[in-house]
Amino acid sequence: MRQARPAARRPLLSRRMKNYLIGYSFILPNFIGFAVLTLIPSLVAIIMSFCDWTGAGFQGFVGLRNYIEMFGNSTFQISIRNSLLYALLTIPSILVLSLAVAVVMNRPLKGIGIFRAIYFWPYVTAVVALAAVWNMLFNPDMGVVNQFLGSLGLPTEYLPRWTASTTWSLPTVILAQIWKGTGYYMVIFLAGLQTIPRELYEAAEVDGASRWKSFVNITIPMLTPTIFFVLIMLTINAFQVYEIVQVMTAGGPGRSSFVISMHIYRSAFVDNRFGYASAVAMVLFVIVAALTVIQFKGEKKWVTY
Amino acid sequence: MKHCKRLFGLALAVCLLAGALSGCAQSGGEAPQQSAGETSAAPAGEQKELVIATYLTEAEGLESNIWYKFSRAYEQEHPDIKFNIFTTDSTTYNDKIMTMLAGGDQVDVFWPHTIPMYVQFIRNQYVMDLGALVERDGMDIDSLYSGAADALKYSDGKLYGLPLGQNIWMLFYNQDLFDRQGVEYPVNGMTWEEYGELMASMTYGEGGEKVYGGFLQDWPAPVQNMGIASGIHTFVDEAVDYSFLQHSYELALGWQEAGYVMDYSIIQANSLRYHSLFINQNIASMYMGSWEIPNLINSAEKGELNFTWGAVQAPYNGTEGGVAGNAVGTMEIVCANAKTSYPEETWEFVKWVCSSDASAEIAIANGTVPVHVNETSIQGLLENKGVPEHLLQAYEKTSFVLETPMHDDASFVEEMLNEQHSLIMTGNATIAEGLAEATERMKEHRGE
Repeated sequence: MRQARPAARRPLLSRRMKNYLIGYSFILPNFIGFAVLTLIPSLVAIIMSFCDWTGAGFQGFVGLRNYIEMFGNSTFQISIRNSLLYALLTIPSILVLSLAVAVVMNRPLKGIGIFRAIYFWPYVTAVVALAAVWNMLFNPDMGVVNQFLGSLGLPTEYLPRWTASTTWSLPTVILAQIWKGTGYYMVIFLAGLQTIPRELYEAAEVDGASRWKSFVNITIPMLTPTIFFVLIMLTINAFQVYEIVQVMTAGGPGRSSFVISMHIYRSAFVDNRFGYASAVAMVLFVIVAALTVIQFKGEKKWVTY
Repeated sequence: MKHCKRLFGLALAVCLLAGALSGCAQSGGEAPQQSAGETSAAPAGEQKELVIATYLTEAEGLESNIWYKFSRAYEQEHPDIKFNIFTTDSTTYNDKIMTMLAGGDQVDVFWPHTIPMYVQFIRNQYVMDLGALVERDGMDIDSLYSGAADALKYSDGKLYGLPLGQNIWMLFYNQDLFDRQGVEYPVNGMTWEEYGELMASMTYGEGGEKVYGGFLQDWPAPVQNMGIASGIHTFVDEAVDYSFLQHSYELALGWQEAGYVMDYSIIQANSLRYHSLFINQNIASMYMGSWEIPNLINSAEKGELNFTWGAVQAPYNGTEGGVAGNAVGTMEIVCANAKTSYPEETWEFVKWVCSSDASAEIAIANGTVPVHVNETSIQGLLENKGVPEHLLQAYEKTSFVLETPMHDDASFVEEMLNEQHSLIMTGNATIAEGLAEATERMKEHRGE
């Protein structure tokens, strides 16, 4: 008797489906990490911002109370103002300075690597050590900076009191941050500069363009993608600044250098008001997101790829 | 072959997924997580490991820490208990313990050394209700602590911690420096103004050789205590008005301007600490809490102390209704984690620390006067190395107030007054402005 040929087994999954699954399986581990460590906590924070959530856990929904309280809270107002000022001063300063240093460092000089390393050094220095040194330099009475200014003939009563003064405490931190951050962005700009083809400069030179003209018409346009990236990174970092302020001034004197991330930290981990702290974090998120979106919208107008 | 590759890919993905998920499950578990080197809950009869969290001061190593000594003595009496001591430095202690408790780490016993910190632990429900256990075991805490435990009852009427040591602020001085200058030692019952004059005559030298007559650490307490010692005002009065601190700040700023005490901003910028300055003889006297006594004993034992020290009662605020012997202090409170895996063992240890003769003896030998000590055994304090014979006179008091009383606003007040203090002491705000802002901020906090 002839046995019937078994019917071809239909695959459990179609070939297309399998391809999808394999593709997703490769990004899955990373996505799970992102979801567990970033996405879910962020979503929980949104929910927490509408709750009274203390160290003892969930105490009930409070609607917009945390937000209403926040906008009336003088510490919140001061910290937002300080964060904006910090961003306004650090972003352009670091951008311009690191670009300038990168241009200078982008020369085939002997030993240029050493100079590049020197500029990068502050970036790899521990913030705590850096703050200790800066606090010594800027000590209003015994620091090198004021001694130098004094030797120039400035009367003692006009010398800035640096971190001991409400006027100067934030600018002092900003100065330290500019010094620390410049080297890192210099490296990014250096990488960008080295992608610009030499032929462009040679052609400009043949046409009799000055170095400044080459810089404005070749370097800057060719660097716009890098500038855009640096701008985004600087903006995000400026609003998230915490450690350098904490170790240099701890937000003081009074609340003169208190920034928004310190307000979040203190509300959450010192006062254990996680709900309120989440609401402040939401505001910080909205500010950073809005600025990033604005920058992306404007990107088409000035960034050339 | 192609099929095999696909299967392998899928298997790999499944493995990674499972690994990631199992990782999540562990971190989300309910069981308390443990610090490195600890064992998990042991079955009955086996050794149980409890974790004590404490801080080490600049003068002490682990083995000279009081909690180390308590735990070793207790282990000898209770072979089934083993202690693991988790240490931090004093400035990060509060935040670190709070974070560990919030994260479910194993910390069984800890000791908030300020009221604001204790209130925070209670509000977060991290601490065991010890009052119930006190009642169950029939402990007579009223006579044991002479009423000191009443000050630790929270607004819900419950007691969440037992008092271990009561620290009071006193005046420490370097006898050798006073002798060298031919100046009479400080005495009990001086006013702050009289102390100011004494500082003036003990301030001498220039530059690195300068000796300051006194010292005010850059905390708010040394200045603000002058305003609350009489007990007329507290920082959490119903009618908020911090102008009662005006005179205290006038005194402190006056001393700072005259150079009798080190400048606040110099202390801050260089992270200077009272103990080092005192043992290095940069300051002739200092207004400080009695927790400095164990530090001085430690330094004497290590041979770092090259002079004789003395201590008397803190001066009093005579111009504002204070009387001699008005004392301000803090309480060292021992708490147990509400979620400890060993509630009974933890409680037994806390009870032993805060009520036994053995623990009192250890504390005294460490330079700490426990609240449960009796009048005769306090004499043991004088047997410690370098302790002056007259030390007990510094403990004489006519009244006692806590730096900050038990109040839900305690931690806000502590933080806010610290910020206002820095404004006034650095000259960024006048005394009146700084205190008016403090009043406003407190009203804002209370929603007034």
